[in-house]
Amino acid sequence: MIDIRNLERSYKTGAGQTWVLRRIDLKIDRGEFVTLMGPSGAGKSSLLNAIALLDDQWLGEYYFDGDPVHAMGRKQRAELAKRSMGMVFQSYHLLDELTVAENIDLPLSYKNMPRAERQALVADTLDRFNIVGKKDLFPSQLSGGQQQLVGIARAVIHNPTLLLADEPTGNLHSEQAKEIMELFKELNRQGTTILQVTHSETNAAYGNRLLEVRDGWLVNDSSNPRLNAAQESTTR
Amino acid sequence: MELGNDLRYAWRQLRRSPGFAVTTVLTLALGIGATTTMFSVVDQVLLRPLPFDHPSQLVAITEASYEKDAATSGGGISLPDAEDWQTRSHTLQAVAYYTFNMPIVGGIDHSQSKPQLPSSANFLSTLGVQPALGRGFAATENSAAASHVAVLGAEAWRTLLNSDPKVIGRTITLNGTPHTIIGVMPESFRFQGGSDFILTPLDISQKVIQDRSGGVLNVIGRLRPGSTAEDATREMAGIKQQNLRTYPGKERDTRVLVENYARSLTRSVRPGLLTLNGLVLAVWLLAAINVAGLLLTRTQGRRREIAVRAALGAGSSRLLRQFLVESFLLSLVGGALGLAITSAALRVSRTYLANTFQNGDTIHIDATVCVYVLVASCVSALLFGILPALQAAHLPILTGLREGAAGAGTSRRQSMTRDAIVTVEVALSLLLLVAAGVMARTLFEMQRRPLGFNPEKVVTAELMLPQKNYWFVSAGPSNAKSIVTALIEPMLMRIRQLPGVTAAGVTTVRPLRTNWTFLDEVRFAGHPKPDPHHAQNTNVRAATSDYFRAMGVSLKEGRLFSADDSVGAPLAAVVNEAFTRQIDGARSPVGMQIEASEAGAHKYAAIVGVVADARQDMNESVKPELLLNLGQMSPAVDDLYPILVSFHLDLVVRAQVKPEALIPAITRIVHDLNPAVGVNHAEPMQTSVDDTMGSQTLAARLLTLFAVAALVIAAAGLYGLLAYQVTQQIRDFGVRIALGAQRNDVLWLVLRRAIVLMSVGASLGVAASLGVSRIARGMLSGVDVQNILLVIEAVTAILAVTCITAGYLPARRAAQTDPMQALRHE
Ligand SMILES: Nc1ncnc2c1ncn2[C@@H]1O[C@H](COP(=O)(O)OP(=O)(O)OP(=O)(O)O)[C@@H](O)[C@H]1O
Ligand SMILES: [Mg+2]
Repeated sequence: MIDIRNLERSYKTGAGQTWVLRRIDLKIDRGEFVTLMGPSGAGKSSLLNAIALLDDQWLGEYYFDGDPVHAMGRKQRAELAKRSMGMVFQSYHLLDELTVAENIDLPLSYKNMPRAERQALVADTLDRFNIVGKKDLFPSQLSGGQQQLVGIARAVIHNPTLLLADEPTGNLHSEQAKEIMELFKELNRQGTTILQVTHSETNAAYGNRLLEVRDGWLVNDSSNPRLNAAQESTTR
Repeated sequence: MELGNDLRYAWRQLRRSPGFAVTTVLTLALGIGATTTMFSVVDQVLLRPLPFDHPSQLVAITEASYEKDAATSGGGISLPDAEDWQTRSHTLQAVAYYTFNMPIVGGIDHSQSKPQLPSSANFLSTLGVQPALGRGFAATENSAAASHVAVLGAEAWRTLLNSDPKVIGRTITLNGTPHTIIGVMPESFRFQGGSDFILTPLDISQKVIQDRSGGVLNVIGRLRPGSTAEDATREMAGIKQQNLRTYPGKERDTRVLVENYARSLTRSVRPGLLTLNGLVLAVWLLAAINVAGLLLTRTQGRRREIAVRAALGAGSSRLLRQFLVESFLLSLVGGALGLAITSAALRVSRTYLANTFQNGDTIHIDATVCVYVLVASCVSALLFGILPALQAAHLPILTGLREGAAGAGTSRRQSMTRDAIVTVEVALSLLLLVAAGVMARTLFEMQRRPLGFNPEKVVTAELMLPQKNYWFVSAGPSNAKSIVTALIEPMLMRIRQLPGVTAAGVTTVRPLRTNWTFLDEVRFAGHPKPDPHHAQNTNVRAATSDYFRAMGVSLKEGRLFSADDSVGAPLAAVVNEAFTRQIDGARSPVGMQIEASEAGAHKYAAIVGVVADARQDMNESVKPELLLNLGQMSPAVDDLYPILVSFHLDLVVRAQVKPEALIPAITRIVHDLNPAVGVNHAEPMQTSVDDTMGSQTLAARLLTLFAVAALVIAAAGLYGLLAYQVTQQIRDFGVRIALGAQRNDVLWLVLRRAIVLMSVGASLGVAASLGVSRIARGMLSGVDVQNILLVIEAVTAILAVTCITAGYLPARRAAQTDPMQALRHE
């Protein structure tokens, strides 16, 4: 579903340029549960943001379901992201002024969807995530784990094919983290492709594929042992 | 469909930050309210078409000497001239005329005086209006035999006859002469600001009216379709030239001015109104700018929210819309409140408006005003909302999503926008303060100048005279009984005998009375008739000898009227100091002979003294005045007698007791002598002084109010900016202090910004003030450069103190940062 070739990202710093992603080649198939790991500052978030189309300053080729993202304009990219992707954030990013139900409804409100259909979908999702009782509460009235639950519900309400999560359990203690991971596993089982960034080996264990980034290079891919060898030779 | 959602969300956002919402809505309400109030006045005074048929065709025709414009010219049009225009003009399809009179109306329950407009028979048809009841005048009724018919204005119908529906055919008396009521005008017909008058046909057979060199008529014309006022002015000049050749020595050599009638009514108030309107627009602009600044700050605080929305699929147009919806909501609430402010402002200034503008009493909130509020609110919303909305729509998502983004710094461009906004606010408020200051100071100076009389312990009353046997229109001057012997002398004698009265006198027009004035050309004996280009005018009045002592007008030179000025002696006159200044600053006018009649014993009056300048008006400098000795005048010898003593006199009584206490006794004396004389507005002179001042100062007070509001808005803007920046940088301050910075260093760091912004804004404001004052000086009399500079200095000082205070508060907070607290902030 994702085919990335030679993706690069750099920032202008003072006089020169700092490269944060170097010649990334990456294929992800439908139904995979991929974990992205690496030391702090390695470029994990940068790669995730590029794939999520939150960032459009990268170079290289990026095919999504065969469509060339690199050739798309701003609008088309936004459309694609809106349709096919869901984002989960480390700090949840729920809107404080909106109730749980309204937060979940937010992605739908940016699609042209009839009101009744939307309400039905929101009710469904609340039910599915077991938070019907919380629907009229505001985020500040929820625990961290509950907030992330809402964050995930919001990310998947429009039934995206790809779910992207940047350290989704970074602000949670292990008990809550476990619940979230179980949820991810369940979503994956139902067919959602997942790409998560984490520092936790425990979380990584829920996935079925492990990627490792160092200094902007993709240095390890559990499903592509050849990469490791090739990479080692280049870095040497 | 999503609009409802946006609206609901916007509403919740505002409810969640009541401080922001209240500040914004109040600022907007003030701005929108101020401009809506001005709009109501401008629309209903300047822009509203008159309630006549095709009002744009109506013109006022006046005559003026060559160097003065119509506003300052005196005297009216003569009937032969008006008739020439009617018969010879091709640009005018009709010429109508009217004069003014104040008869006592009898034949009703309570006799009372009421304005009368003796007019041409075609007066109503020229205006294109019809009576609601009965008929208008026939052409034959402008004659001595047929002119005793009357058409009532709606208000006069109400006040005189209780709106009696069977009024047609009924008879009333005007100064004793019976008139048959033939018509009643509809409610909508207002002329010269009201409908409380009686229309009668003018008897044009009277000799005085037929005199080509005289003139008492006001003339209104209706242009033919396709002709302009300029065409008519040119044509009138041609007719004037022909008449000057045909009637040498009779036809007056004047300039004939043809002007749109509606414009002629508002000429005197137009510049002031437009200036005030400009200033009020500045207040509105200031309010919008300030709200834009507040919104920009708020957008910064909502960067995370915006980024999340964008990440979840909100396109930039969606975001733009959402933020504009918030602006519109704020603006509409502000507008609604603004309408309430307008309503209150109109109520508070009702008397002022009624006194200042024709139809000023009818200014109210109507559909047009409501539409204006709506439009003003929407324009405001776009004005202050578009920049913050655009900024919100184009915020970079990733920075917004970064952890702790709300605390992250502001971009350079955004902070420059905010700085610019505060600078402009400071500049605008300085401009407004200067305008208000100059106006207040000018008024203050005007009022501080000596009155020229002493109102303490003086009571005055307006005597409305019955005109039968006195006025030239009703009876020839030769058989009229002199009012001096019939009324004035016995009345004054009896008043002087009242306990506590020290002096009592009569004048035709007392100080601080702006109506009833009569302006005439100055001609000295032995001097050739001055050419029209150099003619000098003076107010002409008449007074009894004791008037000056009663009013407390002091003698500057020569003498006042005395017992020697008997009826047989040469006519005596005194002039005021302004008269002396006008003729020649150095030479004393005492001893000069000035023309007072065409011929006869009183052809010349001798100037015997000079008196102090008694204020005729509160906000203008004193004009030349010539006061004839009323005691010597009689209808038989004095041409001016019927003009000056036509229907109105001012009684002035000085006492040792409380002046109000004398009013009943004075009224009784007057009515004893002649029950038909109306005694109006009997009150202490001090009351008149206070009233005149009051209505003058209201305008200055309003402006000052606007300016103070502007100052508060600007100070709030500066405070808001700095307070926001201090919050944003609280960690930096904490770090600085932890690293050993003195708290004063931090204080100064913030305060310095306030001072820089204030200085730049103030410099811009001063430059703008100087520019504007150059333009305004042409329009406002009595404003001098020295005054403006003084005001600018004072205002800048006030502004500086206010701004530094506004900056000091956040600066102190920055300096009091607890480093531990600040560093834990993340
Ligand atoms: N806006 C920016 N400007 C300049 N450099 C940036 C910017 N954002 C990220 N970087 C750099 O890109 C590199 C990769 O950052 P990234 O956020 O992708 O790291 P990460 O692997 O997610 O680290 P962490 O585990 O700490 O989240 C870092 O060296 C960082 O300094
Ligand atoms: Mg990261």
